Amino acid sequence: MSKRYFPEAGLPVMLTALALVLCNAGESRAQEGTPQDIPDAIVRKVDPSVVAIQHERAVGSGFVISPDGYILSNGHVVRGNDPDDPSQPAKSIVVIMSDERKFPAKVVGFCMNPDVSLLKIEVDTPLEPVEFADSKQAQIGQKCFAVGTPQGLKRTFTSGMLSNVTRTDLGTFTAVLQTDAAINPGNSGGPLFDREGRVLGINTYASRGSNNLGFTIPSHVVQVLRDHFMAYGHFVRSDVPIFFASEIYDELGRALQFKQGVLVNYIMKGSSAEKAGLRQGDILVAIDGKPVAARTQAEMLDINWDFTIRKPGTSITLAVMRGVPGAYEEVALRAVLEETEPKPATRRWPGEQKIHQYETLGLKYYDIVKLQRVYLGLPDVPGVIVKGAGKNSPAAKADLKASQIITAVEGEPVGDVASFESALEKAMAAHDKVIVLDIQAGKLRFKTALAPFYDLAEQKIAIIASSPQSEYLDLIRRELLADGAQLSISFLEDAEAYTAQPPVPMTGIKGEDIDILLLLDGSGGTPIWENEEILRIVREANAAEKKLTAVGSAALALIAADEALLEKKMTTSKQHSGEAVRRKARYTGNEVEKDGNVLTTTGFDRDTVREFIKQLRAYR
Amino acid sequence: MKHRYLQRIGLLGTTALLAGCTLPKESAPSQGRSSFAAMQQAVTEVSDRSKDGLVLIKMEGTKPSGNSYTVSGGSLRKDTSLSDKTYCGLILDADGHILLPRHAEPADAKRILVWVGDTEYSAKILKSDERLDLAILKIIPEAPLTILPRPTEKTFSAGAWGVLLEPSGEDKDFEIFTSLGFCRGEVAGRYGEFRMDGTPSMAGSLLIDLDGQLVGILKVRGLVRSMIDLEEDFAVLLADAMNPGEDDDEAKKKGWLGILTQPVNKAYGRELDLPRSALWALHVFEGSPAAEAGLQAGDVLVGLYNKPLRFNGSRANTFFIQSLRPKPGKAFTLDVIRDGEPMVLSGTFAEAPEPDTLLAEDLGVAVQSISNQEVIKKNLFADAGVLVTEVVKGSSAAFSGSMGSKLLNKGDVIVALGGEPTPTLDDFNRVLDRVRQDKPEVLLVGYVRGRSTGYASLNLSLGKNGKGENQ
Repeated sequence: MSKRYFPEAGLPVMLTALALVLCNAGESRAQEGTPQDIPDAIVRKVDPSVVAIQHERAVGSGFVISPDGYILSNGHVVRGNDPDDPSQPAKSIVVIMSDERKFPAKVVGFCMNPDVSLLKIEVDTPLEPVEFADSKQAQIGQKCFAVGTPQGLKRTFTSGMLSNVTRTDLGTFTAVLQTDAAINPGNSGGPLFDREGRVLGINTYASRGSNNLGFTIPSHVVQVLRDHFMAYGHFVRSDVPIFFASEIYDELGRALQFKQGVLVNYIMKGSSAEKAGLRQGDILVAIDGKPVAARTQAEMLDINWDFTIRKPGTSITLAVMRGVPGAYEEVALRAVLEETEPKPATRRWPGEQKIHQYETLGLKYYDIVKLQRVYLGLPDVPGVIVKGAGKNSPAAKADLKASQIITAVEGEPVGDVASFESALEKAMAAHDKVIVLDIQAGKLRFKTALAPFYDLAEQKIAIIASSPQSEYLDLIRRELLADGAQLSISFLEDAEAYTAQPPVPMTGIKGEDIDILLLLDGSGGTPIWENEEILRIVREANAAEKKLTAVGSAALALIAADEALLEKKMTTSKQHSGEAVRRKARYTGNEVEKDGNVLTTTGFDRDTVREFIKQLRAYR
Repeated sequence: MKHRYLQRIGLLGTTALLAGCTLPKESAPSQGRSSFAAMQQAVTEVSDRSKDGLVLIKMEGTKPSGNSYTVSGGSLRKDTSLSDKTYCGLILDADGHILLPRHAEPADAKRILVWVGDTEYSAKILKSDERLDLAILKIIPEAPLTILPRPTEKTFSAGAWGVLLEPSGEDKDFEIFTSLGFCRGEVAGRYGEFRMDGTPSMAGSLLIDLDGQLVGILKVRGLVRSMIDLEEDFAVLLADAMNPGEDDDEAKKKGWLGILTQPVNKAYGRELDLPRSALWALHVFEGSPAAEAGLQAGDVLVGLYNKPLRFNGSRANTFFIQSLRPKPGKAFTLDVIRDGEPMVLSGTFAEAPEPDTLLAEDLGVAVQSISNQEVIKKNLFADAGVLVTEVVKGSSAAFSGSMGSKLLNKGDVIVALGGEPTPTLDDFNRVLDRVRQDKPEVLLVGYVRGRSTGYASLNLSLGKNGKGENQ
């Protein structure tokens, strides 16, 4: 400390300054409850409950809701990126506590709309859970603050007020809260607290369509979802008889000469509303004896929510006014709630439907759900819907376009994905040069032909899997079939359970007779690398310089079979990497590894396996 | 021994003869010069012979096209200034009919001037064809006009050289500018176009081959429209122009065939041994000329007017539509394949049905009647009702309580007003009249939107237009 900075008069100045600071501190405590500050004590109290969530592709925030480790966040923070199966979460999720302890997390359940997820970590010491506020009592203008872990910063606190408590125009399933407290990408999944430090909702930062928006899912909605995830593992929606009903706004009430209730606009064929006997034009006035009325969209969404979350199978009574304006009669009906079909994608969110694809053919397609027919204006013909055709692919050359329905394959009607795939695969196994498809486009019908390239037509591929339950067996088989490969499939166990094509006993396989050997692991049972038959086949194939390929732990069979293969670079699943190293394999840890005639993959997720298939195709 | 000598002499002789044949008479550069001189001469001759066959056309005071902008005072402004446009025109006959290489309406320009040589004429538009993008002008010539010979078969193709002639104006003493252009190839289509190097930029500039035949007219720099492909159609245009007896309204009546087509997929066509150029008849509209001729959905079209369709894919569709040129009363023949069997169907085009329309100002919607055409083309799920074609901004129908969505949308089918069904436009009009008399404050509208149905209640006191009708 230099004398220059502390002149003789220094000490008195310092003391004065200190006094001023202390006074201010005292002053701010006295100001507790004024608009400017969130109380320090509250901030410190909630801090330990807020966590950061990371996985291979995204980061977000979350918060602890039980001492034993249940954590809430947004659905989009934990979702996987497999378009084939949107119900799959990301693979390796890590939760980071405020004190930097890290825990692997399991997803108990998640949903994209409402955008909520529930995770579980295993802890030794109890955690600090949050308290929930009653979001139904939230007031516009109320002070609140958001906590999150945006973009790599440790954590941030932003504060503001509730700008709106009933935003219904963002394409969300329920009304949401709007705050001017800054919400940015990393805050997603973090809590919005009120001034007492109780959770008003989950902050959601979303890029929907071309908008970047921040909104908060109210805690009363979040808690219901938590209960669903814990009980069922997913959000079970009931098909509500009032799905196509709307609020009775002022003018509508005057025109109908009836101001209470909700108006039934449309009855979808096959819906529970139809089964209950509801008719277009009915005014629903009570459910289970309790009056029901909505004048605004927010009220409508609330009613919708109350019934969607009820258990499917529940029976409810409906009281409707039926007739013409000025002459209504009350009619009593009974409806049974059913679970809805997976919701199709809309402009704003990806939907819950599984998209199927043959990447080789460039064709994406899915089953038709009733709601989809209404959204897309499709006629009531059975078939599968084309989602899209990849550029320059056989599907594009067949002039297939999104929203077309494929109604028959080679003259055989197909009513769903299963029958479509079965018919298509029969034709591809026979290497049909063209596969004639019947198409329904809007009200028009025509025929077209799919001409697969059959790049692997010359290749005899022997697939050997632990069991028919091997994770990627179906995916690999379908893509290789679409490529025209001659496939034989064998199993270590449970061969009788496999129905897609007759399995071949391993004893009949000679390594020199095949072109490509493909080994797939599976959980349980004998490890694939300890089976003598498999090791024999690997040795024979390697001696004949055939291609050896393996997914996940099955890669160990290659190095176990032949010492010469230890020279080749390879990869395997993370859990088995230790074993690979122990056996002195050239383990690289890459997702897909190719070295001469050896091609291996970790089999981490479907994307990785698709990359593996792409590289396998290069062997043609 | 004798044989050997003879053989040697023979061999030497042959060699000398061959050498004599192959040795150049002159050296290579001078040979090149004389070839070039010959080319120059050909070009000069051709342009001399042809230059009287073209004229300079100036359209004075033309409005700019819809999408041109100018930068003025630092900001982007929609271009509203009038300008002059110049084109090269082709003399069609001795009477003074001139081909303008663009579609033009009489209102498009204040005045049209034509220079034949340095003589100025005033011209008027006789007839124009939007699809062909050509128009016929008329001048009253003082002296006989030169007409260029046009080929009757296609002789010009890739690799050929041609002379391009472009007229100029007073400032250049009405000289004809000449370029030598090289054809890189032809762009296929109903109306073929030649890709040319070395072209001028004035639309309509003439392309003459080295034999003096008119081969094409310039579309834009680098692209020349093939005369042979245009010949048939603009002969019709010229004939129409020279028959002033035809009623304008009659002429404007569009004919229709009444089908929706789609190209047959290539791979599928091959599988079925169909001609390369084939179209599905996706739908045949009830009561249409095609239906009367016996055409059915699922038939495959392979020929029109006794000529096979050309081109593949979407070009086949375009070719078909461009070749159809339907006029009420004109006959057509279609070559069709049904279940593998070829058939010929014939009929006559009829007047294309136009929907009736109505603007319901008080509601704020423009509606039209629904026919089978709308149901199929717009994928409607209601065949009775009126189709909303426009929702007027600021009207009661455009108003909405919930953000972002109007009460009624374009594409909705209104099926009831105030509880009364409106299956036809007449019914809609009738109910609307009653509504106007009763003057209710709100009006219940029942509609079909896509597959679903719905109700909207319009507040009729909103959105009155400022026409003084809101007493």
